[in-house]
Amino acid sequence: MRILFASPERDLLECFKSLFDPDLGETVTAFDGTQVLYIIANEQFDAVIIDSALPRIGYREITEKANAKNTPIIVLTYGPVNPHMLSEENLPNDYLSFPFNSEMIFGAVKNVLAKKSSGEVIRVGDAEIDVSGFCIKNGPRVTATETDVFRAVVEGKAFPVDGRACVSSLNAKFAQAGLKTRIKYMTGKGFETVTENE
Amino acid sequence: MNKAEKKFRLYAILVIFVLLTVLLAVINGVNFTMAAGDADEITQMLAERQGAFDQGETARAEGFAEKGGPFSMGPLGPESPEMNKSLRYFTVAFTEKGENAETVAFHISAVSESEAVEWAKGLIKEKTGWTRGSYRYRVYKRSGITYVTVIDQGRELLPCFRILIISAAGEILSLIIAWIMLLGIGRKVYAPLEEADRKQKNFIKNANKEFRVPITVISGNTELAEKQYGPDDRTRSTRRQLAKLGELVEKLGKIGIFEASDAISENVPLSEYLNAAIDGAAERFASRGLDVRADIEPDITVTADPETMDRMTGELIDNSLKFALHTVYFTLKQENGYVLLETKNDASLPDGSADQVFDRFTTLENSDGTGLGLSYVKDIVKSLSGRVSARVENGMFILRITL
Repeated sequence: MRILFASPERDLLECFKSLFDPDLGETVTAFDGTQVLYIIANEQFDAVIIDSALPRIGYREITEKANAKNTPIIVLTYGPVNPHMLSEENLPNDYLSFPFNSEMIFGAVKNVLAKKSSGEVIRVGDAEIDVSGFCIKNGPRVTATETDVFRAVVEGKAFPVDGRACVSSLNAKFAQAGLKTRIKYMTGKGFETVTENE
Repeated sequence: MNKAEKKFRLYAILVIFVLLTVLLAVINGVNFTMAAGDADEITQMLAERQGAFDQGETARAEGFAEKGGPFSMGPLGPESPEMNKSLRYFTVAFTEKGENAETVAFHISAVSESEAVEWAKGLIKEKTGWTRGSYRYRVYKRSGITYVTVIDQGRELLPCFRILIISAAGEILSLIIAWIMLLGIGRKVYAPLEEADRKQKNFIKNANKEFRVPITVISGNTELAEKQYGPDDRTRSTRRQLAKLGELVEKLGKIGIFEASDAISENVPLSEYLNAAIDGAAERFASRGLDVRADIEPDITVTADPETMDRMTGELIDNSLKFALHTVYFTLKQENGYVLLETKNDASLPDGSADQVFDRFTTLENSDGTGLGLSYVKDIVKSLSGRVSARVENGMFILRITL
């Protein structure tokens, strides 16, 4: 597996390259946005991990290029993920917030790759999430964490961390796609999908 | 202008208003009381003379020369030697049964003699006081005859009223000038405080950002060390400390998120959020052996950013989990058009106000918290123009939010 890991923090790159390589394969590192764009344009990667504070060219532009090449991309953030980040037009396949350990970042990469190759579709009411396409059918893109939250709601399981932000963003995206399905908290039952105006 | 600055100006202007009002009230009160005292002294002088000054009275004039001196203004008020010439007054004498009335003295232009008698008749059952605004009267008996003396004090009261009006106008003008000065002073006083607050927030924001990568790198290098040499007490201790730092960084990351200009404002189902937060923490409550009692009215909503409401309910739960000993209570209800959210727990703290828990980085005695959780709650409630208070009553820590 080839991973492109970009951050202006060289210690971080060196440390995680040492952790990635034995477990994931080959890790290519870059420390600014120009480098990343050049590398992406000329090489193939299974996944790209970029720091949101990458200098020269921002993560949004890089995400747009990665999405265009259908290369899974994970953006590293300096704070909790919020509905605004989840509503970005060029949405990465997932966000991961600093600080993290190798288990968390490996987990995020594996989760994104597993979803990409799953070919799975989650259907509830009029909502359909194309898991491998990272999008709502005929609607906006979703992250891997949003998909996990939606699956947890459908299966009646516990949320992953920061799930509430995903509930808000998913409801906004369902509305944007003209769907009537919503996620609501039902007293005594927990979060459930409901059809609006029911 | 921030809220604290507005508050400072309002309090300052209120203090100035109270001080000026008290001062001017005392000055004017004393002035009017002295005017009434002078009038009573004059009516008393008339009472001693059966209601009339002797036209040829000169004894007072003789005293005038003795009282004069290089720094003397001469006798003033009732002591003035001009009194018997300048006083406007009348005295009416009545027989014991009040049937026959006789004008003893009449030195006044405002009324006719017959009107004066009628006026005096109306006062015969009184003792002393003001009549028709600026007239002072005294009713007294001498040798079975009742005298009613009425003196005109209009000319003497006029300066008193002028001082009163000038005082009121002066007070209004002083308040306007004080307000204008406070606008400048308030800015000067609060500019450094605002700057300090802004710097503190910036520092926290930057520190939060700057800590995240080092924690990640130290954590990664610790993992590498463990892979190479195996875990030992040192790497385990490093991990424990990293976990603590990570928790602090997560808390710091939340500062200011509810002040973000891009905050969403929508109808948030607070009842649902609170129920969800309590249900979500059921396992943690159980593991600490805490009994949770929730009394939550359904369908209560507030207009807010859903994320901040989520954080607020989360912080309330975390706070209860940290400090409660046996029982935690949550109450959510609508009261007089306000949403009232109350959490109580038996945190075993000394009774009294506990509002300091809302100060950033401030914790109560024997607490191992970061001192940030409830400061978020306060900031969130403030951003919604709500009120939050904390107190300890009979060993119960009570936190009350009104939105």
